[in-house]
Amino acid sequence: MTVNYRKLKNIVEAAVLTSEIPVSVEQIRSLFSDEDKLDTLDVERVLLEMERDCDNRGVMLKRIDNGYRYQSREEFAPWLRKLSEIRPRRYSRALMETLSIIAFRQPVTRGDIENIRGVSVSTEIMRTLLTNEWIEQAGYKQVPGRPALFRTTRKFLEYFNLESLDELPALDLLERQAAREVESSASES
Amino acid sequence: MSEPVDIDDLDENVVNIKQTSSARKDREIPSDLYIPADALEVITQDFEGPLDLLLYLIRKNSFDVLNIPVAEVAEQYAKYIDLMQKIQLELAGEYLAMAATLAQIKSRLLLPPRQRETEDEEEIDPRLELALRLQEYEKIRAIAELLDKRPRIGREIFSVHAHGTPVQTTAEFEKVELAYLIEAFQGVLQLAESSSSIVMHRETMSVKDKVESIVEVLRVAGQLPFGDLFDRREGKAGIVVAFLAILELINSKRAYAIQATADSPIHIHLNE
Repeated sequence: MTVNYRKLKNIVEAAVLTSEIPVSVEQIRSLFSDEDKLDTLDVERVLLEMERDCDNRGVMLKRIDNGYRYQSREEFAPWLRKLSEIRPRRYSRALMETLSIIAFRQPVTRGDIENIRGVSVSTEIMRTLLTNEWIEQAGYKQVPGRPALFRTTRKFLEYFNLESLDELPALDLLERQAAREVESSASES
Repeated sequence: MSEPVDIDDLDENVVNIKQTSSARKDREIPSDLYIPADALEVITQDFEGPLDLLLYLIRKNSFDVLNIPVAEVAEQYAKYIDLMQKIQLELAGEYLAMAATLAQIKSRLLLPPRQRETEDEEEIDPRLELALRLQEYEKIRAIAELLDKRPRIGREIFSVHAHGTPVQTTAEFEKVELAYLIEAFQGVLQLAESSSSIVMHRETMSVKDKVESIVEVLRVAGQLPFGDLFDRREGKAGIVVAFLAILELINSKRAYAIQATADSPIHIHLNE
C-alpha cells in the first residue's frame, strides 16, 4: 500500500458515510488507482479500526451482506423515532410468514408458499414484497407450467439489519430440534 | 397417546373462568347456539389458515404433533369450522379441505392394516404427511415472529447518510444548446400528436379509401409535391397507408411520379 494510512481511513470513512447503500470492500478498492497498491486486507483493517472507533458512540459500523454502513444503535430508537416523520409500517402475520418462507426456502414458487402455509398466496402481499424490493424473481422452475421462482434481496438484509441469512440462528435451531423429534419418534415405533 | 379429551368438558372449565368477559358476547349471538367462550375468543383473533387452527387445537390439548389423536382433533376441528360458519365468518375453502383431509386420515386409521405384498413395503402412517406439514408450518410461524421482532430500518435503527458532494460517476457530457432542446421538444410533440391520432383513425384507414382521397386532392391541384400527399396527423400508420396508395396509383397508371433532377422534389401527377 502506497497511500497514507490516515488519508485512506478518512476516504473510507467519507465513502461509507455518504453512500446511500452499504459499501463493499471491493467498491472501496475501486476508488483507488492501481498505483496505490491497495489490497483487500488494507481495507478490512481500516474498516475494523472504524468499527472500534465507534465504541462509546451513538452510531456503529454494521456489515450487511458484503457491504458496510453506519447506523444508529438500537437502544436509541425511542429518542430517534421522534425525529422521523414516517411512522414505521406494521406488517401482517400473513406477510411475515410469506416473507419467512421465501427467506428460508428460497428459491420458491407461489405453490411452495401455499403448500407450507396451507392457504393461497395473497397477490397483495406478493406485490408489497416486490415493491419493497425485499424479494425478486429468480427465473422459472423447470417443471410443467414453469412457475416463477422468488428469492430475497440484499435490500431485505438491509431492512432487517441482517449481515446474512445465517444471522437468523433460529432456523438452524428449529431445524435441528425438528430433526431430533423425528428421529426419536422413529426409534420409538 | 394422551387421554381422550371431551371438548365440552374442556370448554366448560374455561367458561367458568371467563364467564364475566363472555357475558356480553353471548348476547350478540343467536340464543339457540351454544358457543364455548374460548372458542369465540379464538375465532375473533382470526387464524392464518387451517394449519394455524390445527396447530392451535393440538397445542391447546398438549398433543404430540407426531402422534396426533386424529379422531379427537378432527372432531374439535369440525366444531370450530361449524362455529365459524354459524357466526358467518368468511371461511376459506382451505379450511373445509383440511376437514376432509382429517376425515380421510381418520378413516384410514380405522381400516385394518393392509396385507403387505412384499416384505420391503412399509405401511406408512397416514398422519405422517400432515405431521410434517404442521412442523414445517410451525417453524415458519416461529421464524416469522422472530423476523418481525428484528431491529428494522426506521423502527429500531436509522442508517446514516451524510450528504457529501455528489460523486461524479458518469462521463462529462457536452452542453446542449437551447435550439436543440426546442427541436427535441417538437419531436416529442409530433410523437404525441401522431400517437393520439392512431387511436382515432386506425379503424377507418384503408388503402382503398386513401387512393380515392389522393385522387380527389390531385384532381383539384392537378399535381402536388410528394410530401404534400401525406397528412402527418394521421401518424405513422396513416403515412404508410398513403404511401401504399400512391404506389397503387402509379401501378394502376392512374398517376405518375416525376422529378426534375436527382435532388429536386418528386411530384405526383394525375393521369387523366
